[in-house]
Amino acid sequence: MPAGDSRRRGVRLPPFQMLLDDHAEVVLRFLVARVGHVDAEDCFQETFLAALRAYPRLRDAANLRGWLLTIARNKVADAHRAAQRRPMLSDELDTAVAAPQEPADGELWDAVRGLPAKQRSAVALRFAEDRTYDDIARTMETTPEAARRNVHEGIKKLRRGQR
Amino acid sequence: MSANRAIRNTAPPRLPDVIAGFRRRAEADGLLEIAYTAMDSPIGPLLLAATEAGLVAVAFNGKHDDTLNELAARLSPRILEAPGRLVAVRRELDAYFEGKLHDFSVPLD
Repeated sequence: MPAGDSRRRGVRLPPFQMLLDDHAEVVLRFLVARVGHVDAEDCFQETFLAALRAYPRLRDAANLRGWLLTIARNKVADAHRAAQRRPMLSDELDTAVAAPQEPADGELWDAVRGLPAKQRSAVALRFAEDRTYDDIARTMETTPEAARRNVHEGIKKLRRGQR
Repeated sequence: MSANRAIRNTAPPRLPDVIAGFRRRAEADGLLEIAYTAMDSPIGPLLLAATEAGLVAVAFNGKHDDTLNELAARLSPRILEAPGRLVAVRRELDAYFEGKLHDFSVPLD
Protein backbone atom coordinates (compact mmCIF):
# COMPACT_ATOMS: atom_id res chain seq x y z
CA MET A 1 0.00 0.00 0.00
CA PRO A 2 1.39 3.46 -0.86
CA ALA A 3 2.30 5.49 2.19
CA GLY A 4 1.10 9.08 1.96
CA ASP A 5 3.51 11.87 1.13
CA SER A 6 2.28 13.60 4.26
CA ARG A 7 4.17 11.14 6.44
CA ARG A 8 7.52 12.23 5.06
CA ARG A 9 6.64 15.82 5.79
CA GLY A 10 5.86 14.95 9.39
CA VAL A 11 2.13 15.72 9.30
CA ARG A 12 0.15 13.40 11.54
CA LEU A 13 -3.16 12.70 9.87
CA PRO A 14 -5.85 11.09 12.04
CA PRO A 15 -7.76 8.08 10.65
CA PHE A 16 -10.28 9.44 8.13
CA GLN A 17 -13.13 8.01 10.22
CA MET A 18 -12.41 10.78 12.75
CA LEU A 19 -13.24 13.40 10.12
CA LEU A 20 -16.63 11.73 9.66
CA ASP A 21 -17.21 11.47 13.41
CA ASP A 22 -16.29 15.09 14.07
CA HIS A 23 -17.46 16.98 10.98
CA ALA A 24 -19.98 14.97 8.93
CA GLU A 25 -22.97 16.53 10.69
CA VAL A 26 -21.75 20.08 10.12
CA VAL A 27 -20.97 19.41 6.47
CA LEU A 28 -24.40 17.84 5.87
CA ARG A 29 -26.16 20.77 7.57
CA PHE A 30 -24.17 23.22 5.46
CA LEU A 31 -25.11 21.34 2.27
CA VAL A 32 -28.81 21.09 3.18
CA ALA A 33 -28.80 24.85 3.72
CA ARG A 34 -27.08 25.46 0.39
CA VAL A 35 -28.60 22.96 -2.07
CA GLY A 36 -31.69 21.59 -0.30
CA HIS A 37 -32.60 18.14 0.97
CA VAL A 38 -32.66 16.35 -2.37
CA ASP A 39 -29.18 17.29 -3.61
CA ALA A 40 -27.48 17.44 -0.21
CA GLU A 41 -26.91 13.68 0.00
CA ASP A 42 -25.09 13.47 -3.32
CA CYS A 43 -23.07 16.61 -2.59
CA PHE A 44 -22.10 15.15 0.78
CA GLN A 45 -20.83 11.96 -0.78
CA GLU A 46 -18.95 13.84 -3.51
CA THR A 47 -17.39 16.04 -0.82
CA PHE A 48 -16.16 13.19 1.35
CA LEU A 49 -15.00 11.09 -1.63
CA ALA A 50 -12.92 14.03 -2.89
CA ALA A 51 -11.56 14.54 0.63
CA LEU A 52 -10.71 10.86 1.06
CA ARG A 53 -8.98 10.84 -2.32
CA ALA A 54 -6.81 13.86 -1.46
CA TYR A 55 -6.35 13.07 2.23
CA PRO A 56 -2.95 11.28 2.24
CA ARG A 57 -1.39 14.27 0.44
CA LEU A 58 -2.82 16.86 2.83
CA ARG A 59 -0.02 19.04 4.20
CA ASP A 60 -1.79 20.72 7.10
CA ALA A 61 -4.17 18.94 9.46
CA ALA A 62 -4.79 21.99 11.68
CA ASN A 63 -8.20 22.95 10.24
CA LEU A 64 -9.81 19.81 8.88
CA ARG A 65 -13.34 21.23 9.25
CA GLY A 66 -12.41 24.28 7.20
CA TRP A 67 -10.80 22.06 4.60
CA LEU A 68 -13.94 19.87 4.33
CA LEU A 69 -16.23 22.90 4.11
CA THR A 70 -14.07 24.37 1.34
CA ILE A 71 -14.48 21.14 -0.65
CA ALA A 72 -18.22 21.16 0.14
CA ARG A 73 -18.46 24.72 -1.17
CA ASN A 74 -16.87 23.63 -4.46
CA LYS A 75 -19.33 20.74 -4.75
CA VAL A 76 -22.19 23.19 -4.22
CA ALA A 77 -20.87 25.26 -7.12
CA ASP A 78 -20.70 22.08 -9.26
CA ALA A 79 -24.28 21.19 -8.30
CA HIS A 80 -25.52 24.66 -9.20
CA ARG A 81 -23.79 24.51 -12.56
CA ALA A 82 -25.36 21.10 -13.23
CA ALA A 83 -28.80 22.39 -12.19
CA GLN A 84 -28.53 25.25 -14.68
CA ARG A 85 -27.96 22.78 -17.49
CA ARG A 86 -30.87 20.59 -16.37
CA PRO A 87 -34.40 21.38 -17.55
CA MET A 88 -36.82 22.11 -14.71
CA LEU A 89 -38.60 18.93 -13.67
CA SER A 90 -42.31 18.91 -13.04
CA ASP A 91 -41.94 18.04 -9.34
CA GLU A 92 -39.71 21.08 -8.92
CA LEU A 93 -42.60 23.14 -10.29
CA ASP A 94 -44.81 21.51 -7.67
CA THR A 95 -42.26 22.53 -5.07
CA ALA A 96 -42.53 26.15 -6.08
CA VAL A 97 -46.32 26.06 -5.75
CA ALA A 98 -46.43 24.06 -2.51
CA ALA A 99 -43.90 26.20 -0.62
CA PRO A 100 -46.17 27.59 2.20
CA GLN A 101 -46.48 24.13 3.87
CA GLU A 102 -42.79 24.15 4.83
CA PRO A 103 -42.11 24.59 8.57
CA ALA A 104 -40.64 27.96 9.55
CA ASP A 105 -37.04 26.78 9.65
CA GLY A 106 -37.19 25.24 6.19
CA GLU A 107 -38.87 28.35 4.84
CA LEU A 108 -36.01 30.42 6.14
CA TRP A 109 -33.41 28.21 4.47
CA ASP A 110 -35.37 28.41 1.23
CA ALA A 111 -35.06 32.17 1.53
CA VAL A 112 -31.33 31.80 2.23
CA ARG A 113 -30.99 29.86 -1.01
CA GLY A 114 -32.49 32.85 -2.81
CA LEU A 115 -29.63 35.14 -1.68
CA PRO A 116 -26.68 36.01 -3.93
CA ALA A 117 -23.93 33.36 -3.76
CA LYS A 118 -21.51 35.09 -1.36
CA GLN A 119 -24.20 36.18 1.07
CA ARG A 120 -25.73 32.70 0.92
CA SER A 121 -22.43 31.03 1.82
CA ALA A 122 -21.64 33.54 4.54
CA VAL A 123 -25.09 33.26 6.16
CA ALA A 124 -25.03 29.45 5.98
CA LEU A 125 -21.56 29.27 7.54
CA ARG A 126 -22.45 31.79 10.26
CA PHE A 127 -25.81 30.36 11.31
CA ALA A 128 -25.88 26.70 10.24
CA GLU A 129 -22.27 26.17 11.38
CA ASP A 130 -21.99 28.82 14.07
CA ARG A 131 -18.58 29.75 12.73
CA THR A 132 -16.62 32.92 13.50
CA TYR A 133 -16.11 35.66 10.91
CA ASP A 134 -12.38 34.87 10.78
CA ASP A 135 -13.21 31.25 10.06
CA ILE A 136 -15.78 32.16 7.40
CA ALA A 137 -13.25 34.49 5.79
CA ARG A 138 -10.72 31.66 5.54
CA THR A 139 -13.22 29.26 4.01
CA MET A 140 -14.46 31.87 1.53
CA GLU A 141 -10.95 33.14 0.83
CA THR A 142 -11.86 36.68 1.75
CA THR A 143 -11.33 39.13 4.64
CA PRO A 144 -13.22 38.95 7.96
CA GLU A 145 -14.67 42.40 7.16
CA ALA A 146 -16.05 41.17 3.84
CA ALA A 147 -17.44 38.03 5.54
CA ARG A 148 -19.18 40.19 8.16
CA ARG A 149 -20.57 42.46 5.46
CA ASN A 150 -21.90 39.48 3.46
CA VAL A 151 -23.64 38.05 6.54
CA HIS A 152 -25.04 41.48 7.42
CA GLU A 153 -26.37 42.18 3.90
CA GLY A 154 -27.78 38.65 3.69
CA ILE A 155 -29.66 39.04 7.00
CA LYS A 156 -30.99 42.43 5.93
CA LYS A 157 -32.40 40.90 2.74
CA LEU A 158 -33.91 37.98 4.66
CA ARG A 159 -35.62 40.39 7.09
CA ARG A 160 -37.10 42.37 4.21
CA GLY A 161 -38.27 39.14 2.59
CA GLN A 162 -39.91 37.89 5.80
CA ARG A 163 -42.31 40.81 6.02
CA MET B 1 -46.61 13.26 6.92
CA SER B 2 -48.97 15.52 4.98
CA ALA B 3 -49.73 14.89 1.32
CA ASN B 4 -47.88 18.03 0.40
CA ARG B 5 -44.69 16.93 2.07
CA ALA B 6 -44.87 13.47 0.48
CA ILE B 7 -45.17 14.99 -2.98
CA ARG B 8 -42.29 17.33 -2.33
CA ASN B 9 -40.04 14.62 -0.95
CA THR B 10 -38.50 17.05 1.52
CA ALA B 11 -37.59 14.60 4.28
CA PRO B 12 -34.12 15.70 5.41
CA PRO B 13 -31.36 13.20 4.61
CA ARG B 14 -30.41 11.13 7.69
CA LEU B 15 -26.74 11.29 8.61
CA PRO B 16 -26.28 7.51 9.09
CA ASP B 17 -27.80 6.80 5.65
CA VAL B 18 -25.68 9.46 3.99
CA ILE B 19 -22.52 8.12 5.65
CA ALA B 20 -23.38 4.53 4.68
CA GLY B 21 -23.79 5.66 1.06
CA PHE B 22 -20.42 7.41 1.19
CA ARG B 23 -18.76 4.28 2.63
CA ARG B 24 -20.17 2.12 -0.19
CA ARG B 25 -18.91 4.52 -2.82
CA ALA B 26 -15.49 4.80 -1.15
CA GLU B 27 -15.14 1.02 -1.20
CA ALA B 28 -16.33 0.79 -4.83
CA ASP B 29 -13.73 3.42 -5.82
CA GLY B 30 -10.96 1.49 -4.05
CA LEU B 31 -10.46 4.28 -1.51
CA LEU B 32 -11.26 2.24 1.58
CA GLU B 33 -7.70 1.16 2.28
CA ILE B 34 -8.26 0.06 5.87
CA ALA B 35 -11.64 -1.06 7.22
CA TYR B 36 -12.13 -1.62 10.92
CA THR B 37 -14.74 -2.75 13.38
CA ALA B 38 -14.98 -3.37 17.11
CA MET B 39 -16.37 -6.56 18.64
CA ASP B 40 -16.95 -7.96 22.11
CA SER B 41 -15.14 -11.13 23.13
CA PRO B 42 -14.51 -13.18 26.30
CA ILE B 43 -11.13 -11.40 26.64
CA GLY B 44 -12.65 -7.92 26.28
CA PRO B 45 -13.37 -5.60 23.38
CA LEU B 46 -11.41 -6.31 20.21
CA LEU B 47 -10.50 -4.04 17.34
CA LEU B 48 -10.16 -5.71 13.93
CA ALA B 49 -8.66 -3.97 10.91
CA ALA B 50 -8.19 -5.21 7.35
CA THR B 51 -6.90 -3.99 4.01
CA GLU B 52 -8.30 -5.37 0.77
CA ALA B 53 -5.58 -8.04 0.99
CA GLY B 54 -6.43 -9.25 4.49
CA LEU B 55 -6.27 -8.71 8.22
CA VAL B 56 -3.65 -6.17 9.40
CA ALA B 57 -4.45 -5.74 13.08
CA VAL B 58 -6.26 -7.38 15.97
CA ALA B 59 -5.97 -5.22 19.08
CA PHE B 60 -7.16 -6.42 22.47
CA ASN B 61 -5.50 -3.88 24.74
CA GLY B 62 -8.56 -1.61 24.69
CA LYS B 63 -6.56 1.27 23.19
CA HIS B 64 -8.37 1.27 19.87
CA ASP B 65 -7.59 4.90 19.04
CA ASP B 66 -3.86 4.29 19.48
CA THR B 67 -3.99 1.29 17.17
CA LEU B 68 -5.88 3.24 14.49
CA ASN B 69 -3.50 6.20 14.76
CA GLU B 70 -0.55 3.85 14.38
CA LEU B 71 -2.13 2.24 11.27
CA ALA B 72 -2.78 5.72 9.85
CA ALA B 73 0.88 6.66 10.29
CA ARG B 74 2.34 3.32 9.20
CA LEU B 75 0.04 2.21 6.34
CA SER B 76 -2.55 4.76 5.26
CA PRO B 77 -4.85 7.36 6.86
CA ARG B 78 -7.68 6.22 4.55
CA ILE B 79 -9.33 4.36 7.42
CA LEU B 80 -13.07 3.92 7.87
CA GLU B 81 -15.28 2.02 10.25
CA ALA B 82 -16.72 -0.57 7.87
CA PRO B 83 -17.78 -3.86 9.51
CA GLY B 84 -18.66 -5.49 6.17
CA ARG B 85 -15.09 -6.36 5.29
CA LEU B 86 -14.56 -8.07 8.66
CA VAL B 87 -17.59 -10.36 8.75
CA ALA B 88 -15.56 -13.51 8.00
CA VAL B 89 -12.92 -12.62 10.61
CA ARG B 90 -15.58 -12.02 13.24
CA ARG B 91 -17.22 -15.32 12.48
CA GLU B 92 -13.92 -17.21 12.87
CA LEU B 93 -13.08 -15.40 16.10
CA ASP B 94 -16.53 -16.13 17.52
CA ALA B 95 -16.07 -19.81 16.67
CA TYR B 96 -12.57 -19.75 18.17
CA PHE B 97 -13.82 -18.31 21.47
CA GLU B 98 -16.56 -20.95 21.55
CA GLY B 99 -13.84 -23.58 21.22
CA LYS B 100 -15.11 -24.76 17.85
CA LEU B 101 -12.19 -23.50 15.78
CA HIS B 102 -8.43 -23.91 16.20
CA ASP B 103 -7.00 -22.86 12.84
CA PHE B 104 -7.86 -19.59 11.17
CA SER B 105 -8.33 -19.43 7.42
CA VAL B 106 -8.90 -15.69 6.86
CA PRO B 107 -6.11 -14.08 4.80
CA LEU B 108 -3.53 -11.87 6.53
CA ASP B 109 -1.97 -8.79 4.96
